[in-house]
Amino acid sequence: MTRVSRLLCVLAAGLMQVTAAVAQAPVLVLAQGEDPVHQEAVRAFSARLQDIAPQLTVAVREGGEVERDELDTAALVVTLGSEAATNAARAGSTTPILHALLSRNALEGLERGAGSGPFTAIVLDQPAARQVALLRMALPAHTRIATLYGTASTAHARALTAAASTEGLSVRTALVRSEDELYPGLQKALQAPAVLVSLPDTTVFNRYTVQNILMTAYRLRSPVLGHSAAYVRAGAVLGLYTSATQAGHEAAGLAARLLAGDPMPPPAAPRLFEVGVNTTVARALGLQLQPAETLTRALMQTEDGQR
Amino acid sequence: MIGRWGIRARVTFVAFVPMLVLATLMTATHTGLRLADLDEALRARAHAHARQLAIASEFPLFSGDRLRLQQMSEALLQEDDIAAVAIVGAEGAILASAGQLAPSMPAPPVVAPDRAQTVAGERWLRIVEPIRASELPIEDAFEHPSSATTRHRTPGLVLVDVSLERLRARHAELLRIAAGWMLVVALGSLLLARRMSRSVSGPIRAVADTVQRIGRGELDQRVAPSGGGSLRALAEGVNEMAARLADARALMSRRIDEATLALRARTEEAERASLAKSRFLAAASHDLRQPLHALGLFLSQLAQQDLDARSRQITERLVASTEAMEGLLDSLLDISRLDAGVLAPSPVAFDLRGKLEHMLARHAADAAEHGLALRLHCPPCWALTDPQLFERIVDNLLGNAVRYTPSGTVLLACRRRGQNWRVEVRDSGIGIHEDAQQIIFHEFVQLENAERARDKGMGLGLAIVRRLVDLLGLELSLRSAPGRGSVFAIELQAAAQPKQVEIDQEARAMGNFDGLQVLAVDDDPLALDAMSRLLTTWGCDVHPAQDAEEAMGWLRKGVVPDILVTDLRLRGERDGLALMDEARAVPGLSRMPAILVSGDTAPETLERVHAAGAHVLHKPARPARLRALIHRLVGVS
Repeated sequence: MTRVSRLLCVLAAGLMQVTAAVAQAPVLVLAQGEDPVHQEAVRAFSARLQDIAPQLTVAVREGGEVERDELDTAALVVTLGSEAATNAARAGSTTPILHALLSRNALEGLERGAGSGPFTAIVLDQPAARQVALLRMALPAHTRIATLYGTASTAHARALTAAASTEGLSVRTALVRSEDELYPGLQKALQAPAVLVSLPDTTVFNRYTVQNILMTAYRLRSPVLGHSAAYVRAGAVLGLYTSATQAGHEAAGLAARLLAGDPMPPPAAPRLFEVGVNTTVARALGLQLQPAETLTRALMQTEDGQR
Repeated sequence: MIGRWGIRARVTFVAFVPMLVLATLMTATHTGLRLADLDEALRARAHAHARQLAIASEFPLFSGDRLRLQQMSEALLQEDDIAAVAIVGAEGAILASAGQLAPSMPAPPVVAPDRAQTVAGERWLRIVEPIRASELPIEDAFEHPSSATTRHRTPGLVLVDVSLERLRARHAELLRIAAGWMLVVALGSLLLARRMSRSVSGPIRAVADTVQRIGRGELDQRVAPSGGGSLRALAEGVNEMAARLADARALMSRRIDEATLALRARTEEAERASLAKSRFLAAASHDLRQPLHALGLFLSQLAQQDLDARSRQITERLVASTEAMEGLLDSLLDISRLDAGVLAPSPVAFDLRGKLEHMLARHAADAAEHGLALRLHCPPCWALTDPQLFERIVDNLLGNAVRYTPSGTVLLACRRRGQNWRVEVRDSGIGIHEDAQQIIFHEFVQLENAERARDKGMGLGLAIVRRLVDLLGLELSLRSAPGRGSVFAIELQAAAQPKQVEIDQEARAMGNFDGLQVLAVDDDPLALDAMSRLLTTWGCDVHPAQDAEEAMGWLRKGVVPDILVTDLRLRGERDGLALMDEARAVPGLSRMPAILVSGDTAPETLERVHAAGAHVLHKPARPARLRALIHRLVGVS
């Protein structure tokens, strides 16, 4: 009896919650600290959600640990950033969670609490096919691609190799397990000048190694395709990335659909992206590049056509 | 110590010491700051070099470009003071090095420190600068924030050894310069201080100098007034003091002059009185002598006559009385002559003992009469002085001793004392009180003869003794006390005995004058008669004359006298001296001896006679003396 009655109670409670969510639509946004990237993402998310579904109420909670009860009261939890994602996953709430603004590696590393509800994610990692397409479009003369990968980014490296192969590009990769292997890896990968594609793996590419990698690549007359805007600013010729604003907008769209009753899709790569070009470095390497906006537009059109 | 310093030293001290202290403090502070600055600058430069090298080394270190690291190390070694450079990898391996790392310094650390370190050694400074991977701020969502801190690492370090040699040399140079400046400041301030002190002490020294000169008697010195306040008051005070001193001295000197004048007037008066006394004495003795002279001659003649016993006794008493009177007159005459200074002592070596024996014999009768023992203690001896004058001294002393000793002994003693003979006349008489020991040498002083009994003399004896002793340059001493007798002592220079003994003149006088032509001149007929008769009894041919004219008459008659005996004062214009000169002008008589007989004891007369080279006999001339003189002159001539 007790089992049946408890199940009933739970079901009743779940029904009541869904009803309440539809009625009050509390969307809880967990943001990560006060850094400008995440702030920007929060702003973009909130603004876009208000545009799409003005009836929904959004509560923003910035930083720190969260309690399960807090999450349970919401209709949907949206995490912006890997720290917020980690906190939300650990809470073990039954409320559906949408993770955004985090890498695929971070998503895969999340520890989920017992009894966690369903989740989905929009990761920051650009698909390998998009990267190869951009290279073909922007640097059609370059037929060689090189990359360094760590143990966490093996899959991405493999995907890149596969995508490049289909496009007829040769790929040279090197495994880097520690920073000491970085320079030998670079030398191995860039034996002949090639386009170095950076991967979102912080064991290889991080704020302390990026300068040396860019410098080495430059010396070996190899352009770099960076995976964030910061790489373009630091000296990568090309960048392919999703900005915080774009991530916020995309997350808002998905959140609205989910609250509207759409089924929960599997984690996916971002659909919105932009291309960055460092004309100074390009000129130094003697490369003629199209403007970033042109490249972005062309790449989008290509992808839309494929869809 | 400062308490004994002069003004100048004090002012110098006050001006010099604060300046020196200030200079020392300022130089020390400045030099200290400068040294610290130098240290700081060297450290800062070394750190800057190390940091620069660390930054530049990052990529070569990442890319393992040891050649580049070596090049950079050597480039840095070119910088001043950089002694050695080393770049050390993550495991402590030295990837590049230039120069010799200081051996005294610790080995490079294996693990790079988080921040720059400085190790200071004796001669080296070591900077350890970590090589940091430069951080690129990536603002994206890929990096998990927790991973950012753990990723931080330092792949190596830069070691820079800085030599402190140049810094030490600079330190030493700075210290030398500081010491030099100190010296310059010290000297300068000392000079300044001395100058200042001169300006302060100058006026005071001027006052002090003036006071010193005034002290030496230069009372006209004045201080030039300078400055004000106490200095001016001091100068004015000194000037006023000098003025008053000068006034006082002038007044005193005026009074002394006045006193001197009065004293001189009194002295002159006394001298005039003394002269008058001498003249009186001379005149008196001359006038007394004249008749006495004749009396003596007559008595001498009378004694040579055949007389009965009664008459002879009377005659002898007459002779004795006359001799006593002559003695008195002789004393007066002696005083006159000594005062006139006409006596020239002629010192010869003589037999002192013989002389003393002779004198003792002369007083033996008197002593016997007084019941006194008269004794002589004397070794055979010779002395050097004028024997005649010495005899007169001892004669007087002996006479006094016999006269003033009522009973006992009179001793005449002679003792050797060094180069001298000491002749003493000792008596056991009444003695002389100490107060009276000086006045007894004055004329006419007789201590025990208030009634002035003539047989005790006139009181001229010791006055004559004193004059004679002075004349001969002898020492006379007196030791006496009342009731204990007296000792008069004279010291004579001892002499060696001459080889030939002089012939006694008295003995020669015993010779005969038979046929001797004598021109006798005297204006007193009585004296001329007596003289003529006496000379005749001695066997002379006498040509008497009462004045010069009559005497010259004898010469014109062809008389050739062997000797001229004349009175000094003659009637008429010419006196005895003029007569002598006139007679000697007659051919053949130029060397005729002449005896001038005179009762005149005035000093000027005596001097005139001596100057003319004539021999003088004083009236009353004793026949024996006259005879001896004639004998000597005729014998000599």
